[in-house]
Amino acid sequence: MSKLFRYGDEDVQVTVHRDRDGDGYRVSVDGTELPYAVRREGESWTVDTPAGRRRFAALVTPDACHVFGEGRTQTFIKPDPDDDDAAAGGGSGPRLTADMPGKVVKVLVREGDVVQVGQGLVIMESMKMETELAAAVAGTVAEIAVTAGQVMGQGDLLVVITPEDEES
Amino acid sequence: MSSNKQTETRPIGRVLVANRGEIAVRVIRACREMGIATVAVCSDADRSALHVEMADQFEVLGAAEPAASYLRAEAIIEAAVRTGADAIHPGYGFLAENAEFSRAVSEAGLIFIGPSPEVITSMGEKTAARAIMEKAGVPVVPGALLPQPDGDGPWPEAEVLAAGREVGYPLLVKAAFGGGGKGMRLVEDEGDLLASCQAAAREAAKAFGNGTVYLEHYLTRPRHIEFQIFGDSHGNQVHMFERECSIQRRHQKIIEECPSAVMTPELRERMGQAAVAAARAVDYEGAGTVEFLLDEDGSFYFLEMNTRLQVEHPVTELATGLDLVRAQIMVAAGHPLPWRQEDISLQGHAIECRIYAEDPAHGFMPSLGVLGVVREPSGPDVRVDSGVRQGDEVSMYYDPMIAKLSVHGPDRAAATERAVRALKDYAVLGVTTNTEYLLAILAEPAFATGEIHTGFLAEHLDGWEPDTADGELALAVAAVADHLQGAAGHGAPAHGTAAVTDQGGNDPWRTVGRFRLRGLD
Repeated sequence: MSKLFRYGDEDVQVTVHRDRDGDGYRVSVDGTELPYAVRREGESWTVDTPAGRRRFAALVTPDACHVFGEGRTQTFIKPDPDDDDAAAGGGSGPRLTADMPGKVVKVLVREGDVVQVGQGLVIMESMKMETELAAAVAGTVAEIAVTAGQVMGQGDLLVVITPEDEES
Repeated sequence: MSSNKQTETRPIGRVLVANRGEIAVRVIRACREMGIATVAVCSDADRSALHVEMADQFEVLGAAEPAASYLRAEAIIEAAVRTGADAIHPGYGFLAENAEFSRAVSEAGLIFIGPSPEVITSMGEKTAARAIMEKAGVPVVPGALLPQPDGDGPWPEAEVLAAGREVGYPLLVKAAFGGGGKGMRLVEDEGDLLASCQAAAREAAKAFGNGTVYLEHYLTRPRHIEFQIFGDSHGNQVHMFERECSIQRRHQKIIEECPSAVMTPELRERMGQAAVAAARAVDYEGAGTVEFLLDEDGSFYFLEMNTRLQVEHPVTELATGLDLVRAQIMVAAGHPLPWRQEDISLQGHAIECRIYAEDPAHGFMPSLGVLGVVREPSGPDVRVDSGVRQGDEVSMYYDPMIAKLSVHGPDRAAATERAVRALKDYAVLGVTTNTEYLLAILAEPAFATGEIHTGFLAEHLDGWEPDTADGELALAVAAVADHLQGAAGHGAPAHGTAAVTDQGGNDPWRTVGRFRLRGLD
């Protein structure tokens, strides 16, 4: 069975099969078998490389695999080919959304205001720290979807900007 | 100052710990070692938290927001009385430096494990503390008081700007009742002063219940060196050497050490004497910290005094071999300090790394979620103070610091190597942590040579990004873990440290048990 993983900037086709002479697993990436076996040792995953044994921990979720080794965590997204929305940007476009759950402390702009890139739009508070969320595009504030004091979930819409170049 | 000084001992048989997370766990451990029963308090969100599990009994205070739970002084005191506790340990943060709370605890006939309300008041108000220290001959950082607005009224802009000019730029806006970097703003020029005062005041009001702010001159490349002090009700005051806390981001300490690489016996002697003078000036009882800024020219200034156990107390414990929490409880019970100044000595070098659930590659945004994997390091002279376990959720309501990793070694280089090894063994998955960033700090040549100051991170780690090269091994592990997860099927026992998300149910993550590979064969 082969599966798609995002590796760097590209999606790669990965297949896994039982190692022929051992209790580990072999992995092929886009048809090329990697020259080592992955084994499970108790709570760890190990890979024997020419440079020595490397230990990892792994967490599998429906959307991604997170792998920890030598102090580094790497996340491999499992792209869903059927899901067109997956690539939709979070809070980076003309629609400012909450990057994380939190409370709206203050709305710094009003509908109709002209804003520049980097201008603060909303102050959010999460985990006792205030964070100012800034405009990613220049334009006019078309909609403010929140008021101070409101508690927002991750991804909730905060502010919509009509970008400069779309204005008539 | 010494009005409620006690010289008689009062036995402590049960302690209510008015805190959560790693510090509640730390206090509960000390109590268990001393044969003292423990009562935990928690919010609705923390009912199954580690500190609740570890205590002998627990009381639920209210909703997740600190104002509805961990900051409810009356409810906490009621819980202590109801459960028959003799004393309340406040930990740090929340009510630890709230004089009203300390007073109310005493008035309820309970022991507050910490200094008197008078000392908390005078040191908690940073401006009053500065005045007391000046009088005691301890040098202070130049600064200015600020006129405050009436309630929600407008700020007296002209006076604020005048005060700013008096102090000079760059300057710091600081919360008079604050600490830990909250309610603090660095202001480079006059244009940002008013907005910074307003933001700092808002943050301070929320975090400390008082929005008063003041201005302080900003030294450009100082070290943050603090001295652990300890006093008892018998008139003894000692210091327990310094902690080097210069590795800070936005005034939040990240890595602390004991001793400081810059310290000479002569400077330690002078600063230690100033710290003890500060403690004597207020008849200090219990554990406290005198924070100094050490300028490049070797002059030092009193910054503030923290009237509580400090987050970074483990490095002092590791380098002196003493137990600060045990001593806090002993002193609160009216016993004399178990050590005199000449009994306290330094052995080797200790380093603490704070593990934060935040993403250093994306503006240090707090990272929330369920800890699908937590694997702590171990080995000689490796200490983990953690408030969380595998399966716990990191929520938006509390501080993003989830654990502290502290190590000890014969010297600074060996301690650094041990910290690096232990961080490489500290697996936390499910939220993003600062582990790789901490490793990058420890790998900096300037860290190795001890050339650190409060601008270290801005100077050496600005624009830091995680290493993305050479991920093939990790990809292979991801593929195998994912493959076995899928093969195990839904609801079936799965494998290793992998956890599976149940998309249909409300449980955000469901941790699944282990199985042995041979069991499949």
